[in-house]
Amino acid sequence: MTPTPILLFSQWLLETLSWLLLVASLIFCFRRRAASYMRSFPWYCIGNCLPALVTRMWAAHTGLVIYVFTIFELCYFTYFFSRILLSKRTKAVLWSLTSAVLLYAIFRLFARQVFNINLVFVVLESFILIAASLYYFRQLFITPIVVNLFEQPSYWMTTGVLFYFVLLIPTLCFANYFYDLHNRFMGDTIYSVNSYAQVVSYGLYFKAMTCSIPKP
Amino acid sequence: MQYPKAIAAGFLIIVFLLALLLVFIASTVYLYQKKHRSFLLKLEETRIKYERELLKSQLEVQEDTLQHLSRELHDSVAGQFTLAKLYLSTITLPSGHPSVDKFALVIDLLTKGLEDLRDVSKSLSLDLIRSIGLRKAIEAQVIHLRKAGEYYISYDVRGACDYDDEQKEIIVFRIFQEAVNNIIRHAQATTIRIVLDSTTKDRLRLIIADNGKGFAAKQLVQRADNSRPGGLRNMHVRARLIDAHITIISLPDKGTTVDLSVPLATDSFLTQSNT
Repeated sequence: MTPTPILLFSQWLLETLSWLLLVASLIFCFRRRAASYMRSFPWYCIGNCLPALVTRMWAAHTGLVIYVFTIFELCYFTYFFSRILLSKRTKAVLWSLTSAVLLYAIFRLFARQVFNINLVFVVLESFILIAASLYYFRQLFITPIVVNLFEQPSYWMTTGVLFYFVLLIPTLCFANYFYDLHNRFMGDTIYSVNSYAQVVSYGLYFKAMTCSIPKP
Repeated sequence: MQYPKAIAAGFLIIVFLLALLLVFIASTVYLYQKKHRSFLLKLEETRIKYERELLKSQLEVQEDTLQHLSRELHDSVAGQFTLAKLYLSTITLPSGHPSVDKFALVIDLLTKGLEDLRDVSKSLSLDLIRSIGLRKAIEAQVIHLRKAGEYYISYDVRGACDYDDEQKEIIVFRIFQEAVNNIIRHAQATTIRIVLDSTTKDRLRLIIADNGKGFAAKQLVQRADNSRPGGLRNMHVRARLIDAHITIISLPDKGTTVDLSVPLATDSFLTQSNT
């Protein structure tokens, strides 16, 4: 069964913007005096673009590709938050949770030979990253250091992460619900919201990359 | 659903998501700016408090020094003058001696010097103002100035001028002394007008005006604290400590007016830090 036009369009838009984001990251993230935590972002963009390429070549392994990408996404954002959060204890908790989820994912992959991502894994990933984002905002408000939010890459990146992952859980849950009811149209429509949310978060990542660098 | 409809639907979804995002970003930015403002306010309050503590300490050191000087003048210098006068009084020159007049003059000068010394000692000490209050302390100073015979001085008291705050009275008195010292040292004036006004319910006003040579007040007053002349600086520093407002109006050859306005509310920094 072919996906509905709304889902196809959203996925096309997402893929196109992923490549544009990769190009932009190669231009902006390596500027002199750019925030050091942004220098790893091009790697995320490369990882973001690869699934689309790989699934074109090996359509049968789409599930596995998405599985691996989701693990990569969780690891990247955990690394990103460990760079911007100040509390050592919080970083330790973050890495412990991520490691536990990774172990679970690896166990599923090798021991149970399950190659498709499941909702539990996505929900776990979302909760970890949402909690990290909220902790960042808490840190922003309680530390006495005052920054210009509009020129703070970590603010825009965290807003993008929070926005996307907060919308991910309800969209996936509702999409699966309609798919289970064999209502493809509603399922695809709601699933496309996930792609559009990612497009919007790409806009925020782009803003993060293009923040002006403070003069020394 | 055809592609154009899909694109339109996609566009609508993106607009809706952007609206949600905008609300979130506006809220975080607003709350963050609020936190920033309150942080700056706290910083300013701490800076003001620190500055006032520093000022208060400086003035306490000055007052201690003046008290010490007053005691030394009274106990040591005045004592020696008294002894000198006593020794001279025991010497009797025979009548017709060529130095009799000069001798009497010396004793008179010593007596006058002793009186002046005692007046200076009293004015440096805080006992005067503590015992008789601001109004009468200024009156005593006016009487002392009139004795010198160099100035025509008018002292106008309006209202009861019963100020119940000893600390503020001391500071107002010191400002008054500083202003008068400046007139004596620099103004070359012949007339001094002093007004002590407490007719306004919440304010005490002290005006000291002279008809002397004046100075470029605006330029001097606008200088930062450290580069202002010491007397002007002290007056402003003391006024700040009691939340008073001091205005110095002067132009070359047009005389000088010092206008001090002191709030009578008791919540000054001095009373706060002493509780």
